[in-house]
Amino acid sequence: MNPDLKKLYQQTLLAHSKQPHNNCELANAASATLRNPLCGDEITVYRKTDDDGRARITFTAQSCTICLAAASMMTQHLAALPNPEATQFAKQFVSDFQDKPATIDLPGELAALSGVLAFPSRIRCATLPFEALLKIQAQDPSSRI
Amino acid sequence: MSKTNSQPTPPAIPEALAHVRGDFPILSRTVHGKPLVYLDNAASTQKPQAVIDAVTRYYSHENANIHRGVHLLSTEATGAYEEARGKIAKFINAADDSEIIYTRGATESVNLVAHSYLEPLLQPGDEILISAMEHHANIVPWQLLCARTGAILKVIPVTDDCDLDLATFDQLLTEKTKLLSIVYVSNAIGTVNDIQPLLDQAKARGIPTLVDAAQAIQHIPLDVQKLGCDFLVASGHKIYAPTGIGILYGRRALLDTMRPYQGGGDMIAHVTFEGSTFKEPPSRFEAGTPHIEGAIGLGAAIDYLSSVGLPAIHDYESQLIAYAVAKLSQIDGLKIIGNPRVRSGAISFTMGDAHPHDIGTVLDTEGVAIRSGHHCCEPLMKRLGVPATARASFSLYNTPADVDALAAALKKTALLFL
Ligand SMILES: Cc1ncc(COP(=O)(O)O)c(C=O)c1O
Repeated sequence: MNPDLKKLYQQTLLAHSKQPHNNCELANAASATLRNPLCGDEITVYRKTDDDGRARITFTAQSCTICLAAASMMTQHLAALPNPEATQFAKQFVSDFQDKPATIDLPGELAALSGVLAFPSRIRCATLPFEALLKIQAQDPSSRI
Repeated sequence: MSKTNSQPTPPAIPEALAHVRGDFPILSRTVHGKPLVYLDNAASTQKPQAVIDAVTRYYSHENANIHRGVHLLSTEATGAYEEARGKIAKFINAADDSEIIYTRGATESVNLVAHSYLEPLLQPGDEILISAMEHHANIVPWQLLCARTGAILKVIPVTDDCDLDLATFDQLLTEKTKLLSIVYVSNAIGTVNDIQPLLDQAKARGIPTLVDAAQAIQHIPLDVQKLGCDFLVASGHKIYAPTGIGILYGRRALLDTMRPYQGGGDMIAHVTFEGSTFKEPPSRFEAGTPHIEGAIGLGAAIDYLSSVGLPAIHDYESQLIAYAVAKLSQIDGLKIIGNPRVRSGAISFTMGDAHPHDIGTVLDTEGVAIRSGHHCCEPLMKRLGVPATARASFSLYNTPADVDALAAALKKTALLFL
């Protein structure tokens, strides 16, 4: 198999796409929906802060492997981060990928997403969930992610 | 679906098409280290050397503006531009060269009809009839027009097989219908619609018709007089010609009644500050300096198609696509979307949980170019219950070996995702 392809569809990513985490609607949450006009993929990200102050992020999507896996990893990673850092992380993630560098250092399982860099037409698939999350905040600036 | 194991027989490449691959320089390049297998022809076709040469010749020998200078270059450029118009007219059997208007493509042609023909005729409550398998280019201009005029967009439904469902056609054509605008060949599924009876019925009731031939003109011999349509639209880049050039065929009697599309140079008879008068068709609809080399390239593409012979192309492509359908049907987990009675150009499919976008990426690394997504037919995708499909689309230079490469790459995809 083409080595770039092998790196793109590595086990971590396939595992997340086959059994995505936090793949459900979230009642009484803020939400935002984004589409990738290139392929028609659509994702809705939900976010709310529980009474105990912990953030919960979930998503529903009709989308490709990359987008599903990115969303699944995002919901896990960002819910665990305290407030300003989570927003900052999402912004940085999107802008790093948009710059199309040769490599990107990403923490934990998210590192599996760097395989899209070899496939410029697929970068948006990885950033779409993060963009949707940022859109929630843009709609309601008082809600910190 | 039950899979049979008997191998389908690949069609023989007829003598008329035996050497066409050599005419397309791009087909000898590699993609990700693999020979290019180009199966995205419904999106855009590759260009033969004859078209590339015609464009180059224009720039190296004839380049000048048209319909303006008295000098030789302008005369030659004007001649080449108008000669191409004549070739197109002949290719679709228009009654007169002036029935061919150059546009940017099928999309602009539809918009031109909406603006210059239909808009002044519409009253609130009037109806425009299209089908559920239209490309967005034959939906959105009408929606915008309906929003401006209070007209209503009506839709002929499709069956699960993705043929037109004509059970209610009679009721859908009413005295309020001001235009029937229908796709000949579906870009998303490959359905060839039996449009003749629909056009006949509309005509019998005095309803003007538009045929979207963007996916037909390169595969099926067309005769606008026999079809009896009032308008027909197509894009150059899907018929081996450059991008940015397309055509609107319009029956002259209707063109004569139509208001200009854009204003500017070359479309006027006289300009004063009190008012301006406009040229006759087709100039009335071609404001400003047009896509001269595009038109010349389109003329060359039509010469090329005619030299190979559209009937031979149609015959071969039909066999090739039947072979591809048989071959893809044997792949476990692969589902062909739509089962039209007559198919041309394209096969859309899904593969288990493998998203079409992922299929496209894996195939790309094998050198196989296909398209994935909604193919600018979101309402149709919704009707067929699939958010997106992968689509392989064929043209005169594709071979049974291309189909085999597609099938092999799809089997690799299945290993990864299924
Ligand atoms: C059936 C059909 N109609 C219209 C169009 C629009 O063509 P263009 O984008 O060249 O204007 C297309 C292009 O895909 C098409 O397939």
